[in-house]
Formats: sequence, structure tokens, C-alpha cells
Amino acid sequence: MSFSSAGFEIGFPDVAYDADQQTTFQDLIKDDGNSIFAGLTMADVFIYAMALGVKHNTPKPLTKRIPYMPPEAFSENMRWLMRSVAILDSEDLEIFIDHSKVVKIAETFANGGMQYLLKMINERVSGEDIESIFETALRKEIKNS
Amino acid sequence: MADNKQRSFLSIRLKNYRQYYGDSGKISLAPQDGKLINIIQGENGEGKSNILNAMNYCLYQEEPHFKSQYSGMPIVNIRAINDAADGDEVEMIVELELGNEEIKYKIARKITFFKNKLIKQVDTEGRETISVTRIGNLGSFPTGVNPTAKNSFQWSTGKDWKTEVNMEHHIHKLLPPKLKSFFFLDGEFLDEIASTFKGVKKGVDELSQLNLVYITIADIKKMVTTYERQSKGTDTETDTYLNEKQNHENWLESKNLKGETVYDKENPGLKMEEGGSVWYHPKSGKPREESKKKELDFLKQKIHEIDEQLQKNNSSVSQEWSINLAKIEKLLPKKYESLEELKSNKIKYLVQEGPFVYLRESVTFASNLIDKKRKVGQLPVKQNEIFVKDLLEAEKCICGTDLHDEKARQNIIDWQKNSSKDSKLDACVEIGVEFRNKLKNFKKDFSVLDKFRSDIINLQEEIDNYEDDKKELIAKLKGIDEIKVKELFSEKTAKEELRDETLVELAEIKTDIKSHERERNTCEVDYNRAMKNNSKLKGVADKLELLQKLHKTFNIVRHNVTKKFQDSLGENTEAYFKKLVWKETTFSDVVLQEDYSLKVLNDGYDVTHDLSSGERLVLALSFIAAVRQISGYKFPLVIDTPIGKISETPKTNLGKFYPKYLADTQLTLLVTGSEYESNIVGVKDNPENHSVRKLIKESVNVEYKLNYNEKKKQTTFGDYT
Repeated sequence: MSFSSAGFEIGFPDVAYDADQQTTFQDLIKDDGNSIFAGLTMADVFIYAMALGVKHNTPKPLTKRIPYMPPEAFSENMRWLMRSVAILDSEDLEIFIDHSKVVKIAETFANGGMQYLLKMINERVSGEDIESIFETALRKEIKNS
Repeated sequence: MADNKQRSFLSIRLKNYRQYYGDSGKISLAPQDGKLINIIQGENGEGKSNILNAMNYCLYQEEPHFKSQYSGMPIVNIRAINDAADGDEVEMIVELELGNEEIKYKIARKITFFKNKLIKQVDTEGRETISVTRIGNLGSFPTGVNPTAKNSFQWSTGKDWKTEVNMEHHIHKLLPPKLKSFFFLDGEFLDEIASTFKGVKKGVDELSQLNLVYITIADIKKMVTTYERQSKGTDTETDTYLNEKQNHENWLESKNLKGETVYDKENPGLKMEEGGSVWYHPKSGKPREESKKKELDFLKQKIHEIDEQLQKNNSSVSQEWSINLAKIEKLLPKKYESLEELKSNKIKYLVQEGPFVYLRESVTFASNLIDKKRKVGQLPVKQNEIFVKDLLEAEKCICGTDLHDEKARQNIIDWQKNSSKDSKLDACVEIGVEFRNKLKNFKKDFSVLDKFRSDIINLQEEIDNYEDDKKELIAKLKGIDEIKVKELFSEKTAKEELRDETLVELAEIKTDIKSHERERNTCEVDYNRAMKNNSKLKGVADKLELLQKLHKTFNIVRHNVTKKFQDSLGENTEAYFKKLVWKETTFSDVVLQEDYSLKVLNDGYDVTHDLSSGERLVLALSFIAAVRQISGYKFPLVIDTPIGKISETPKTNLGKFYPKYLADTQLTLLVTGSEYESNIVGVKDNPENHSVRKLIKESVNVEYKLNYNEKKKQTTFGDYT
């Protein structure tokens, strides 16, 4: 996706995870072969967790915000996905101008979606490829949509 | 004394240098009537390479094209030493004149010494020899003599010669020593360029002025270190992050706390030279990766050489097996690489596209809401191109105006152009369109997954088949009862095992490097944040952050300049190479890689190792021509035995085209009689079977013949007959 809204992103705040999730985020991007996010960024983990939080509709307020992910870690595409979540949640189109509100809503869904993400990773049978779990889930989702 | 014109060698004078006994006087090389090719013909061992050495010695006091038969011999002619009585003065002179019609340069190296009693010794084979000692960069002399050097650098724009004191500085301005290998060439170096590319990087860095960027990066790094040192001892948190960051940096550069390189002392590297001394890889990080890559190249080269020997030694059937095996072995690593890449792309797709699938509801909702608001005019659509486009396509405005009328259409277009551009919500409409497009293509996501799956399965099957074929061929070839073949196979297997281990280690190092780099960056972010939170360190933090950004920016500049330079060098090399060998062969691309090695591709497959020695020489000459074109140094070119190894077609093409490529450049060729005068037969473009001599006749300025007197061990310049 490409958008011509140059200058529009100024003021997009750092994105936070919950203090309880700090280690989880760090572990998920480690290159140890146990995570599909190995070698990717915390922003990738955040967006995936947020998407699962929306799918299961489980927003969960953060107990303590750790604003660790800078806005530049999120691609334009990712930021627009966060905005779509905020629009759906608030049912207000104009919310996307308010970056703080958008990020806050996205954070609660990511926080709530993390449990589903961990479930996908931890419940695999020994010897099963981690990507095949994600692929199966994705195929199921595409089929049902 | 600067000039911007192409320079040529005007003369060379040799007195008692190696086999050149006595004073040759000035041997003219000066161009006349616009003819720029000089020929010096001599058979092997008659002194061709020592002309190249003499030029190098005169300019840089080096003799890089040294043949082994001269090791242990003094630089001064033996007959001149023997002729002199004890106490007599012996003189050696190497003198060059070069320049153009605007300015001339005269460079001379003159060495004298008084002969004393020669010290005799017996070598390992029982022969009596004269003992010689190497004296600095002056060369080797009879042991016990005390040579005196008188060097001079003079220049002239008219009759008078002016002398410069700082000789080396002026020579380096004419041609930096790192670039000399691109101007003084011998066949062996050309072969080396095409296969190992030793030293090319240094020369190319010099040409592209990347050295300056490296210096800047190093200076900024020093400043960063200074500020980091200033931040130490203020609070525990910043110190902890800084220590962690530096630990990662030390690992990445394989350094200890004192800044010294740490070596893997327990595991010596492979011996890459006959009788070479024991050496060790750096312990970690990028230096280890570089060092291991070199070893990998060496192993690949050795395996290739064994393959060639196997092909020569096997019977015709087993030869075919060997060829097939070599092909499979060349192909397999690429296939495995493609498989890994495919798997990694699939994971990337799953991670990046997955959220969109799960968020389809919210994206659809947002998209519909945008459409709804747009339709009822709740979005500031007046400046929106998409909205205006919709209206024009519908041919009816929302106010009811019929837009079939050209004037009404123009009004709408003008209105959009002139309207205010400060609407933030305008982007909403754009994202609406993007979302709609995404949703429209949604079904295809399934097919992408299917394609990934089938591609991976197919590739895996292909690899399995190749592995089976490989096993079968190895088993067949092992059955051949030929000792040499067996030995070669066992050597090859050992080398292949080492190669595979090295490949695995390289992959692991790469992952480790990535991981340390990421953790180092995280530490840097934490360190910067901790410093900013400390009021005492705020000032240092700001400066440091600026320097860190500068460091990153210069590294990007380094990367971009290298890329641009390499691209241009690669394109030019390809153009020359194609012109010289293209017509008769099927090479599709020539690619200059990051490490400056050249790859020749045929339909995407690397066929560099399949090139004949002649083709490799043409490839190297093409690279040299490209480097010279880009370098801008107006220096003449000297090539020793340039065309001996080349087959008839490229020889004809070289003869015809090479003088044209080098247009205004003086070219001195040191040739053997057969490579220069033999008729070239069986080439379509050369129906009269002309020799190289005949093909380049029009461009030849002077021709000399080296006359070697075996009895007197003496070479003199003579006329070409």
C-alpha cells in the first residue's frame, strides 16, 4: 500500500505493550527457531496479536504501559490497520486523526490477543513446523470469511 | 605541473638491470603519427617480464612480476658484477620518461656499489652459488656490498628539467600504487583477477574514493567512543547499557577490551599456500565471517581443480559421470538456497498478511464507513481526485448538473485544482480505495498460500532427486579401479565435507551477527534513553545521538556509493566482454558481485568456472578496461603475454577491437613470437587468417625484438625483422 499523506503521521506516539508482556515480546523475536517471528520485529508481533484480539473480540486494558516500540517500527500499512481497528471499536471515522486514541485502542486489542498468539505457538505437536500452525489457521480463517 | 591529458611512456633505459647487461640507452616508446601500440617481442625467459618489473621498480621499487628462476639472483646484472674487479664501482640504472606534448616526467633509480670479494656458498643440490642479501626495497645484492641509491624525479614543460624532492609523492600522484596492478599487467595476474580477485577491492576503493568515506566513518566512531567515555561513571543504568552495547560491538568486530583482535587459537585455518605458515581465524563476528568466506572460496577452487583433474583422468564413461556429478554439485547449493528463501518468504507472508485476514471485518467496516460518508458528502471531497474522477465517470454531478457538457466537466476539474489542500480527512478517501482494492483481491490470498506450498514441495522433490542422482554417481565412480581417481575422489570428499561445514558455520555466524547487531541496537536505544533521563548527561546524549545518526548515514553513503560504482563497473565489463566473446557463445550476463568477484551467467546459472582460460583472460581484460575507463587516470598500459592463452576467435576479436576500446591510451605489449605472428585460422571474421600482427598493423608505433645471448647471459633491444 502507498499513501500520499506526507506529514500526516507527525505525532504518532510510541506504541506500548503491557509490563507483563515484556519478556514475551522479547522472546518471540529471538532467533532460536521456536517462533515464527524469529528475526522479525516487535511491531510484527504486536500487529498479529492485535488482529487476533480483534478476531476474538478480547480487548484487555494494560496494567502498566511500556511504550517501547517507536512509530517508525510500524509500516504505513500497519498503522492503517491500527486505525481500522480503532474505527471499528469506536464506530467513529474521525478517530483516526487522534493518534493517541488509535494507539490506545490497538494496544488493548494486542494485549488481549496475545493469549491466542501464544496458544498457537505453544500448542503445536512435537516436530510440527511452526509455520504450518499459522498456515492452517489462516486457511481456516480465509475459508470461513 | 598538473595536466589532464593522456600520458604515454616516451622511453625506457636499462643499465645492468637483471639480464640487461650494459647501457641500453634510451629505447624510444614515444607515440608518433597518433600510433599508440608498442610491441616488444621476446621468447620466454628473454626478459619480457623484467621490462614490466623494471617499470614497477622505477616507479615503486617493487618487482611484482618476478619469476622463480630469478630468486637468489642479485638485481644487478651478474656479468657486470663479474666483469668488475674488486674495489671497482658497479652501476645499475632504471630510467623512465613519460608524458605528453604539455609536460614530460623523468624518473630514475640509480644504484652504485663497490665490488668486494664475492662470498660463495653451496646450495641444497650441491651447486656453488654467490651469496646474496636483500637490502630493504633496493633489491638483492652480493652479500657484503654497500649499495648507494640516487633517485630523481624531474619534470619539464620546455627545455629545462626541474627536480622535485619528494619523489614518491609525485609518482603516487601520477598513479597511486594500489592501482598499478590495473596498468602493469601480466598473464598470471589477469588469470588471478578472473578467478580470485585478490587485491581488487583495495584498488576499487581507491578509485571510487571510498577510502575517504571509510576514514570519515572511523573518525565519527572515534568521537562516539569519546562521548561514551564521558558518560561513564555517572549512573549505573547508563553504564550497564553501555557495557552491554560495547560487548556486542567487541564480539561483532572480534576485539577484546584493549581493542586487539581476538583469534581462534585452538583451530588453525587451512593452508592456502604451499608451505604457508599456520594462521588462525578471528574468533567472532564479521572478521570471522570474512575470513571463513576466503577459506570457502579456496575450498571451492580446490574442488573445481580436482573436478578438472578427474575429468582428465577418467575413462569416457566415468568422465561423463564426473561431469554430471560436478553439474549436480554446482546446482544443489543453489537449490537449497532457493528453498530456504522460499520458506522464509512464506513465513514473511504469513506474518504480514495474516493480520489483514483476521482484520477483514474492521477493514471492511472502515471502508464502508468511508464510502458512506463520502456518498452523503460528509467528507471534504472538494479536493479529492478520486471523487472528481467518480463524478466525471458518472457524467453527473451531485448537484444534478449534466457532465456531458465539456465546459461543465472543465469547471469540475478546475474546481478540484484550485481548492484548498489542507484537508486531513482527504487521506481517508485514499485509504478507503486501498482497503477496497485489498478486499477485492482478498480471495487470491488463498492461491498465494497454495502457490507457496506447491513451489516448496516441487523444489524439495527436485532436491531429493538430485541428491539421489548424486549418491548414485558417487557410488558408480567409486567402483572404478584407478588409484589416481580414487585418491582424487577421497581428496574431493574431504574438501567437500570441509566446504559443507564451512557453509553451515557461515550460516550460523550470519545469524549470530544479526542477533548481536539487533541486541546492540536495543542496548543503544536503552542507553540513549537512560542518558536523556539523567539531567547531567542530557548534553552528551544529544551530541551522541547526532553522531550515531551521522555514523548510520555515512554507512548508507558507503553502501550506496559502492553499489553505484559496482553497477557501473559491472555494466562496462559486461559490454566489453560481450563484444569480445559474445557472437560465438551463449553467455547471458556478467555480474560484478559485492566482493568484486565476477560471475558469468548463462540463463541464470553461474558458468564462471566453465570458462576456458582464454575466455577468463578476456573477462579479466574487459574488467581492466572498465576499471581504467572509470578511474580517470591518464596512464599508459603495459601487458605481458596478453594473448597467448586465447583461442582463435577471441584472439581475432581482441586484435580487432581492443585497440579501439583503449582509444587514446598507449598500449605496450610484451609478446612471444608465436602469439604475435602465428596465423589465426578458422575464424569467420578473419577469412585471410591474419596474425595479430597483421590485424593491429595500422595502430603499431614501434616494434622491438629482445635478443638474448645465452652464452653471455645478456639481453639487448634489437630491431624487429
